Amino acid sequence: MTKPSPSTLTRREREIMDILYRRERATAAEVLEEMADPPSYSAVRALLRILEDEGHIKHVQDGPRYVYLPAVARNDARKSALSHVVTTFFEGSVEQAVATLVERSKLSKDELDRLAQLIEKAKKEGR
Amino acid sequence: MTLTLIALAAVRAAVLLALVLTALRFMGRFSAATRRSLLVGAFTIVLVLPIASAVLPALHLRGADTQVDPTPSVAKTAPDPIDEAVPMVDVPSVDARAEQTPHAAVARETATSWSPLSIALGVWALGAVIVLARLGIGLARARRLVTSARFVETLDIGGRPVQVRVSSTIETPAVTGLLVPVVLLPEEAATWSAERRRLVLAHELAHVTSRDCLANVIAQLAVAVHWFDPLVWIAARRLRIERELAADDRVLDDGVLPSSYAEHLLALATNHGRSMPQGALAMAEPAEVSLRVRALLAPHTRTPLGRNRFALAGAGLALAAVVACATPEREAAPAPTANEPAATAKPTTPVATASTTI
Repeated sequence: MTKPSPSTLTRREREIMDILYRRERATAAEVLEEMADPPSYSAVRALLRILEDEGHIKHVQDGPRYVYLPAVARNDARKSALSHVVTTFFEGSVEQAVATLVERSKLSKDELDRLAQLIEKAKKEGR
Repeated sequence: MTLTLIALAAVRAAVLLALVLTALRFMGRFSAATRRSLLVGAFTIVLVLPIASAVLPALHLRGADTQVDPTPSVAKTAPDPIDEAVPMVDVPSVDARAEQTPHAAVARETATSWSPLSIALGVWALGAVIVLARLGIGLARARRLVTSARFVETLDIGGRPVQVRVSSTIETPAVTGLLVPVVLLPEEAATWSAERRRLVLAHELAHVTSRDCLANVIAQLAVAVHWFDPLVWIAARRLRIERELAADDRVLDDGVLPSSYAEHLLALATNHGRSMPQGALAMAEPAEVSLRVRALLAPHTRTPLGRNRFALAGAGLALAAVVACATPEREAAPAPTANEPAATAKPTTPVATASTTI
C-alpha cells in the first residue's frame, strides 16, 4: 500500500490525525473530546471511516467499540512489546462478555462484488 | 501417579473436543443451532469433568462400599489413592489396589515444593487465572458499557425483561448481560430504517433467547481450565461463529427474505459497501460477514426449532463422552467395570467417568 499523502487531508481530517498520533489510539468519542470546535459525533465517525478507507488509519475491535490508530505509527519503537500484549489483552476482554452484531470488515472489491451478485441473484429468485 | 491422572483428564477433554470438532465437519447440513448446541454441551462436559472428578474422591473416602453414584465402578477402587486435592484427578478409572503403596510414597514425595507436579500445577494455575481475569475484566467493562448507555425501553421476551439502551461509545449493536439481558444500540440506530431496526433487534434477541452470553461464559471457563489445549480455543472460536449463524437463522424465521437481511448485514459490516483500497492484500481468512452472507443465501437444510436438535446433540455428545472417557485397563486381569448405560442414559450429566475395558 502506498504511503498516504498528508497534503490531501482536509483541516478536520488533519486535526483527527494529529489527535491519533498524540494519543496513539482512541475511540471516536475520545477523538471528539479533544477536537477544538468539534462537529457532531456522527460527523467525526464518518470522518474516521473515510480516513480508514483511504488507508491513513486502521481500527481494532474492542467488543462493540472501535479503537482507531494511525496506520503508520510515528514512533513504532515507543510501544513496548509488553504494553502491546497488555492492550490487546484488554481489548479482547469485552468480546467475552458481549455478542456484537457483526464485525466491521474490510472486504476486497472482488469479494464485495461477489456477495452483491449473490444477493442480486437471490432477490431475483424471490429468496 | 498423580501426574498421569491429571494428564488423563486433560487427554479426555482433548479427545472429546477433537471428536466434536471432527463431527462438525460432517454436520454442514444440520442447522447452526444444532452445531451450536453440540459445542455448548461439549464445553459443559469438558468444564465439569475435572470438577466432578475432584468431588468424587471426597464422596468415595466416606465409605468404599457406599454407592453414592450410579456408576458402580466408583465403589470398586480402593479408598485412599490420592492424598492431595488435585482438581483434575479422575479416581475411579484406576485400579488403586495394586497402586496403593506406590501412591502413598508418591504422595509423600510430592508434598515437597518444586516437584515437577507443583511446577506444572503452578503454570496451569497461572494460565487459568489469566483467562479468568480476561473474562472478569470483560464482564466488568460490559457492565460499564451498560450503565453508561441511555435507557430506551424494556421489552418482554418470553417472560424475561430485556432492556434496550443506546450507547454513544459503540459503533456496532451488541447484547450483553447474564442476569438482565441488555441490547446496546449505537447512536446511528436513530437513522436506520424501521426494517433495519427490526432485523438488528431480532438478531440480538435471538442471542438472548438462546442464552448465548451464558454459553460463552461456560466456554470461557472451559478455556480457563484447558487453556493448554489448542482445541479448546478452536472450539471456542467455532462456537462464536455458530452462534452468529444460529441467530441469523432465527431472524429468517421471523419471515424476512434472506436477501434483504443479507443486504443489511453487509451494509452494516462494510460501511455501506466501501471496499478496500486497490492493491491491498486480500484477507487471510474469509471475513465473518462473508461467511454469514453466503450462509444466508445458500439453500441449506435447517432443522426446525424444537427438541430435535437437543436430542441429536445430546446423543452425539453422550457417545463422544463415553469414547473420550474410556480408559485402558492397567492390569492383565479383566475388571468388569463396563458402565455405558449410566453415561448414555443421561446425555447432559457431566459425571461421565465410565471406565470401559479396552
